[in-house]
Formats: sequence, structure tokens, C-alpha cells
Amino acid sequence: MTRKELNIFFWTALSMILLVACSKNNETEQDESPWNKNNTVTIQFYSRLNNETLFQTSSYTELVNQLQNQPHRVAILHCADASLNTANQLNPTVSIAAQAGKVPLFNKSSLSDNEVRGSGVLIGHTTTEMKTLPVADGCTWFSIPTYGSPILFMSFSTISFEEGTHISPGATIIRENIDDETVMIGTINKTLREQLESEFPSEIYRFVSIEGTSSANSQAIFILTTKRWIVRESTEIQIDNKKISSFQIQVEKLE
Amino acid sequence: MNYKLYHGIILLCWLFAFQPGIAQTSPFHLKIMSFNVCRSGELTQYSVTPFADLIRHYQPDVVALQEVDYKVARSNNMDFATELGAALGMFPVFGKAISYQGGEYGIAVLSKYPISAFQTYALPAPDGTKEERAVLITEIGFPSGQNLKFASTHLDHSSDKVRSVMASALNSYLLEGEMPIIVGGDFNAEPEESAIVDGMQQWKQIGDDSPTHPDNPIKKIDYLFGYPKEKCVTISYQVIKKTGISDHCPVLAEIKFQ
Repeated sequence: MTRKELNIFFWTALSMILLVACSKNNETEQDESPWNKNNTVTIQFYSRLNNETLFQTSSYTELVNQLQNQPHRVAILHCADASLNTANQLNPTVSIAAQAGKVPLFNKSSLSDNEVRGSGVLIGHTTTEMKTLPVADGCTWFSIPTYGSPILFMSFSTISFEEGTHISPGATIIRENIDDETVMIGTINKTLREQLESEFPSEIYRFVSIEGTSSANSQAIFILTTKRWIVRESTEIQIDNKKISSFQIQVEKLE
Repeated sequence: MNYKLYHGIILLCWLFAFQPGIAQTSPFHLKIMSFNVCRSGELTQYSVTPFADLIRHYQPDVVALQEVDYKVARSNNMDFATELGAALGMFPVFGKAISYQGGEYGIAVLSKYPISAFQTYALPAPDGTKEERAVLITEIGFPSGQNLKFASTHLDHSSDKVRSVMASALNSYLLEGEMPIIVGGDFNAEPEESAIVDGMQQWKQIGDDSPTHPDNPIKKIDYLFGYPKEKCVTISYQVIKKTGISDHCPVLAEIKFQ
């Protein structure tokens, strides 16, 4: 091999190595970037993950302690249904908010004369607006502007899917409203997870699902964002005699 | 009766009965209240219990509240709307007018049924305004399938001119869309003032001009208004006097939109 051929081989080999290294870096750049905890929102999610009402008693002490002792910006009380009985209207979301010093909001999924079904959303400050859009009876999109940290604005959104027929119209509403500020956390019946994920191309969106430890759960939690966000950590503990799962989910907004 | 005519009438009745959206046009009954709670319960040592007892007694579907504190030092950093909502099992929402003593001061709405949307708008503050004010606009769905826009406001105590500007802004924020609308509040204006006569002329005043302020009242400054005017019917109206818990009387009405 001549010196000239050796030079060509050397530079070609070096170019290939650099090209492969850069490609690999691009592919995993966001996943491998250091976790900026200052740009991270912590969200608590309480659920039985089986579409059953969250509270079967009006004692919320354990959950209130958890809310007060574990730092978070938003907490979701999935299926925190309220009774509309005139003599004794029970509204767990508002009772818990009063005890834990939170501001309560509610995403109604269905309403009758005696009961309202849906999820409570608790935040640590007042907000100037809240929007919901009904997808179908039992399925409503919810959104509020809030802060994921003192310096991190976010649009928090939630929805729950139990019926396959709700996925397509629900996904349309989500796509119309999601942007780089949005963090959506909801529940999905496990049998519908792939159908929901297929509505959000992975080139644009990040779809992460989390299952509880109990194999009896019929639902999973999903987190949907654009590529600007990444789920960094999720931990689960169980409260109320292991009937309620409490998830602590940390989502970082990438620079 | 002619046989064909008889069957024609029966057919028309059936067609009419199964018209889509018929429920939306059926009368929509509501019990509504507006109550200025005097600096979040200054007269109750900031306890929500007497307010909860009063509201529970009258069983309104929705309540507009004024002079509400959120984590303000004078009222022991309490979140008045959430604590009152919790005592009643109702859904609360607070709307900030100003920052005050480390917290916020403004208006609120309580609803028996979940609030499906809300927005707080700052009202304009022309020259002469003593304090910035706001309107909190909520949307509430009822089990009948009907929807209501329900708002709470508190106009400035400075002058009729300032309040007229604020009333005009209320109209621009509220008078849009097809939904029936109620606004309740402390307008700080007597019935003959232009903020009411001109500012609220597109609205139906629910109830009469009986005085509402102070607790043993001598002048009317608290109101409930309905829109559209021609569809809002007052079934009953009451000024609840001498409650001992505020310097305003709550105003209560049963209405229907037809």
C-alpha cells in the first residue's frame, strides 16, 4: 500500500468512525443527557388502576400525609367520584385539598343526579383558567396552565380511556391541543394501549406507559409529551392497605 | 274526527317528541345565590362554618361569592373557597382580583355540579379606580344535559363612571355564545345608577330593588342578572336579612330559562 493509499484509508476510516459516533449520539442524545432536576416536574398519581372509585371511605389521612410529605407540583386523584346526595354531598377531591392545602380542580367524566364520576387534580396555587373538552360520556380532555417548577411553565393535561371507540376522537383532541409546553398524564385500559400509542407517531411524540405492580390491574398510566420532555423516573408505593397505588413521576423538559 | 287528520296529529306528536335536542329547549330550573362574605368571614372570626350552615339551609345549585381571601395573612392564610366547598361538598373555584397580604383577594364560585371550564378576567381600571377588580366566569354542566355560564363579580366602590366602564367590560366578556348566563355580585351601585340602568340593560334583573346592604339593609347593591332577558324567568326571589355573618345580605332566587 502506497503512502497516498494509506492516507486515503486513514481519513476514510476516521470519517466513518466519526459518522457512526455522531449518529449514535443523535439517536440517544436526549436519553443520555444529564438529568437537569431544576427543569423537572414531579407529579403524583393516585389510582386503583381498575376504574373503581378511588375512595370507599371518607378517611383520607394517609393520602393527605403523602401529599404533604412528598414534594410535587400536581397530583391526580384518579376516579375520585363525588356523591351528590342532597343531605350529605361528599366530594373527596375538595375535602383532601382543604386538608392538604391544595387548590382542587375536577375533570368530570360522567354525571347523574346522584353521582359525578371523574378525577381530581390538585395544584399548589390558584390558576386563572381551566378548560375541558368532552370526547364522549366517560371520557373528557382537561387542561390547565401551571408551573412544573418555580421557573418551568407547563400546560398540564389529563384524560382517561376505557373504551376503544373513544381513542380516535380523543387522540384528535389531544393532537389539536398538545404543544412543547404540554405534559399529559392519564390512564388507558391495557387492552387499548397499542391502539392509543399508534395515534402518536414516535418521530413527534414521546409515549411512555407505566404499569402498577399488581397483575390484577386492568389499567396503565400513560405519559404523553412532545420530544421536548422525557420521563426520568417513576416510583410506586401502595397506601390504604395496598388498595391505592401512589406513583411519583418525574418528567424533565429538555433544553 | 277525520281518520287521516287523527293519524296526522299522532304522527306530528311523535315527530315532535323525538326531535333531537328537545332536552336543551325544555325549561331549565336553577336555584342561585350571590353573597358578599365580608373579607372572608371577618365577622365570624374567619370561620367558614356559619357560611356553610346558611348555604346548606337554602340548597342553591350555584353561589357567587365576593370578598374572598386565598392564603391572606388577615384570615390566617386560609383558602376560604376550598374550605367552604369542602364543608358543603360543592366544587369551588377562586378568581384573583389583586395580590394582598402575601396571598390573593377576589371572588369565587361554588357549584353543586362540577365546573367544566373557568376563566378570570381583570376588569378595566380607568382613572379614579380605587381597587382593581375582576370577573370569574365558569361553565357548569347539569345532569339534565343543559349547560350554564355562571359568573361572579365585585365592582369598584369608587364612582358610577368607573363602575359603568367595568359593567361594559362584563358584557364584552360574558355576552357571547348560546349558553344561558347568570352573573351575580356586589355591584356597589344602586338601581338608578348608570352602571345598572345602562350597563346591565341587556340583562334581566332577577328579583326586585329591595335593599341588600348592610346586614339590616338600607340600600341595594347586590344583584343577580340573567341572559337572555326574554328567556330568564324569576320564580322566587329573597333577600336573606340579618344573618349576623356579613355586612351584606345574601340574595337567593329560583329561576328558569325557557
